This record gives sequence, C-alpha cells and structure tokens, in this order.
Amino acid sequence: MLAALGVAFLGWSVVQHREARDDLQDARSQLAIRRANTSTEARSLQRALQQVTSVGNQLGALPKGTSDLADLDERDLEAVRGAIQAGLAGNLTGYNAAVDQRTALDPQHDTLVEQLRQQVNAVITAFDPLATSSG
Amino acid sequence: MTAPGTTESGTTAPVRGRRARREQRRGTALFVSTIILFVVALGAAGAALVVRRDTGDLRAHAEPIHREVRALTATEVSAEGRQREVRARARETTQDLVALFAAEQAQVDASNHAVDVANQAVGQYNEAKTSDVAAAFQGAGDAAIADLEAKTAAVRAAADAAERVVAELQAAVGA
Repeated sequence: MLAALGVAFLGWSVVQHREARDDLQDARSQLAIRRANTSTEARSLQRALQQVTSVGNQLGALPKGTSDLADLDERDLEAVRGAIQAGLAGNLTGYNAAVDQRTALDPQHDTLVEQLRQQVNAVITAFDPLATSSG
Repeated sequence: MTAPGTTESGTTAPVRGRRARREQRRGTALFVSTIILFVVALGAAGAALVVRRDTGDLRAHAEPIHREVRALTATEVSAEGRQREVRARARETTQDLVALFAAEQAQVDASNHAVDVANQAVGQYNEAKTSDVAAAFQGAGDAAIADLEAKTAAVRAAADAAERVVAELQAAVGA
C-alpha cells in the first residue's frame, strides 16, 4: 500500500514536472516572439513619430496661419460687402474706398496663402507614408 | 496408545518441523517483501521529492519569463494603439488641410465673383445704362454676397477644424 502510494506520488510528480518543463519551453518561445514583435512595433511607432516631428515647425505654425487666413477672408468679405452696400447707397466714393481696401488686402493674402501652402505641402508630403501604409 | 514418533493428534515430528520451516520461510519472505516494498516506497517518495524540487525550480524559472511576456504584450498593445492613433490623426490632418485649401479657393472665387458683379454694376452706371448707381447694384450683389458669406464661413470652419486636428496630432505624438 505504502509502496503503491509512493509510486503514485512519484508518477504524479513526474507529470507535474513534465508540465512545468513544457510551460517553461512555451514561455521561452513566447518571449522570443513577443520580443521580436515588440521590437517591430516600437520601430514602427518610432518611424511614425519621426515623420510627424520632422514637420514639427510647420505643424506648430499651422494653427496661426489658418486662423490668420480666415481673418483675412473675413476682412475681404467686409470690404466686398462694403463696396456693394456703398454702391446700393449710390456712394461711388465709398465704393471705390471699399474696393481699394480689398485690393490692399491682396498682397498680404497672397503671401499668407503661399506661406501656408508651403507648410501644408511639407506636412502632407511627410504624412503621405503614414496615410498610405496599413495599421 | 500412540505409535512411536507420532503425536497425540496424529502428526509426526518431521512433518511438524517441515511445516515450521515452511512457515519460517514464508515469514522471512514476507519480511523481505515488506522491506523491499518499504524501500521501494521510500525510494519512490525520495525520487518524487527530488522531481518536485526540480519542478519548483522550473516554475521559478518560468515565472519571471511569464511576467516579461505579459509586460511585453502590454507594451506591444500600447505601441500598436499609439501608432494607430498617430496615423489616424496624421490622415485627418492631411484631409482637413486639403479641405481648408479647397474652402479657401472657393472663397477666393466667390470674392472675385462678387467684385465682378459690383464692377459690372459700376460699368452699367458708367455706360449710362441705368440712371443711378443704386439701381445698377439692385439685386446684383445679394446673391454674390450671400455666397461669399457662406464661403468665408466655410474657411473659418475649415481653419478651426485644421487647428483642432493639429492639436490632437501634437497631443498624440507627445502622449
């Protein structure tokens, strides 16, 4: 009876040992896979971050540029509205003044649009690989 | 009266000796078997203890590996999620900037159209096709101005959207 118990205990211990050995092997292979995957993900993330930070200056300038452009367009609207209202009022002098005011905005507008276009082109070019690649 | 060499129960002395020796041998065999089984039990238990200690060592080796696997999995999931976020924000930024320029182009066109309309009205007046400036402007400017107002508002909305998405992108990169 005692011997049978001893042998059974030994058999149970051997089974547990085998399970522990298999578990260790699994854990080691999983670790190798995870290390490889994590390394790939980390590199991929790093590349994405570099692509964004490479145009950090342009990105930083964009909010002010877009806001200024919207402001200029609103001033343009006011000038055009002023011109038409002056015309409706029969005020040719006012009309001419409003048209001159709008014309005066043009160089500022063109400069801002060109500056913004360069910044946006740089950003879009830098982001193109991010937008087209999967993930 | 019993025969010589015969006990009262009828068993002879040599028979009794053989039985005693047989019982002694059986007893010895039982004792030896018991000892052997005891030794086997002890040996099995000892071997089992050695195996269990080795199992404990294996588990002790496996545990930090499992911990590292869990940590790496969490890192991988985090990196994957962050990368997805950065890519999504970058795509939105590109789309919103393209939309801003489309809105700007529409605003410029609407503004030029409104000025053309006004110029035509002035031209009509100058060519004396109408009696006064106000009449020349009647009806001409309303639609053009309404369109310009809508296009200007669209530029403001596109600029706000671009500003917001750029901020989100910067947050995603800096997170």
